[in-house]
Amino acid sequence: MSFHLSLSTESVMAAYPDDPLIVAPDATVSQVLQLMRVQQTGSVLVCSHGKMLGIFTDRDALRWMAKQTDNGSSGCETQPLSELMTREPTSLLATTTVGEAIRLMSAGRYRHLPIIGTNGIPSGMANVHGIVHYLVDHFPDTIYTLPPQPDMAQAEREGA
Amino acid sequence: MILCPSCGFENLEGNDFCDQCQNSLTDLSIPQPRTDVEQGLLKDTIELLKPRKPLTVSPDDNIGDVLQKMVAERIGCVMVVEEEKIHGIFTEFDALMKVNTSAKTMADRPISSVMTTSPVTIEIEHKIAYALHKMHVGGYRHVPVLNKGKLVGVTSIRDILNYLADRIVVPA
Repeated sequence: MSFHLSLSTESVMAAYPDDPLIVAPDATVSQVLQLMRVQQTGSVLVCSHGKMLGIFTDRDALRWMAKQTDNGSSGCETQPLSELMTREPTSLLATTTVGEAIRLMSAGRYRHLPIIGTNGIPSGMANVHGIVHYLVDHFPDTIYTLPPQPDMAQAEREGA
Repeated sequence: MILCPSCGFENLEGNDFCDQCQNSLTDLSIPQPRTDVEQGLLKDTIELLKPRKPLTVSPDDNIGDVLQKMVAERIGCVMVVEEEKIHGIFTEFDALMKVNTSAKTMADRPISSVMTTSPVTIEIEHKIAYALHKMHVGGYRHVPVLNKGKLVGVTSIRDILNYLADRIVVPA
């Protein structure tokens, strides 16, 4: 079947990856959080000299914010991001298939997977919304033509 | 161009009847699910996704407590509920967008000041296709699931991805 075939042949680059937002490992938490807010993005890649060192997502940000509100422990705004990021995250190659990306995302419970280009530089960020967009593209009639409320469907055709 | 199913005549787009044999063409414009996955999406209800029980907080709870609860419970969103009515939702993304670096100064404010009010919800007997439609069009990660107006769970885009991944078998 063509759909199954394209999942095992088409590259993850077809599944609407975002452009990666890249920051240096010595950037401070507050700088990065503000950057994420301005860019409206949930994840950044931490890179140094074109090499990916780690990933920092909204989950890590939440952990840091929770620590801030906890009076007992001290989280500091100038903490470098390299202390908070997830090191060496699971990543994809530009040649990885969509099917494999779905499998990894589903098995590892990831929402973001960095895509590493042939030169070792991160070239994209596969995310769950992009993958779902790609899947929905294969059955647009089923999803896009739905009425906004299910109960709105009429039992009988209107008119004479 | 519409091909008449009975005589094969090539009709103009929008014809109600076949120009050659007068056979009705109206049913051809109704989209038909073509694959098992599509059929499943239109047949299976949200109940099949087994929506998780949501973590609920009251609108007066302060932001600091809610953030710590989310980290401790390892979840990405809480429902703000008062008298069994859902007032809002607060997610990781809301935290990033609205609390951000001022977590310390905002810790004592009520969660109702930063929650997303009146979130899009879905009924538990609705089909999965509707949930997918709402999440995809609205760009949501979580949708509260109601049963006759009462909050019973929350379903996430990852639940749907897992559902699709299970059904779309990828030959290794």
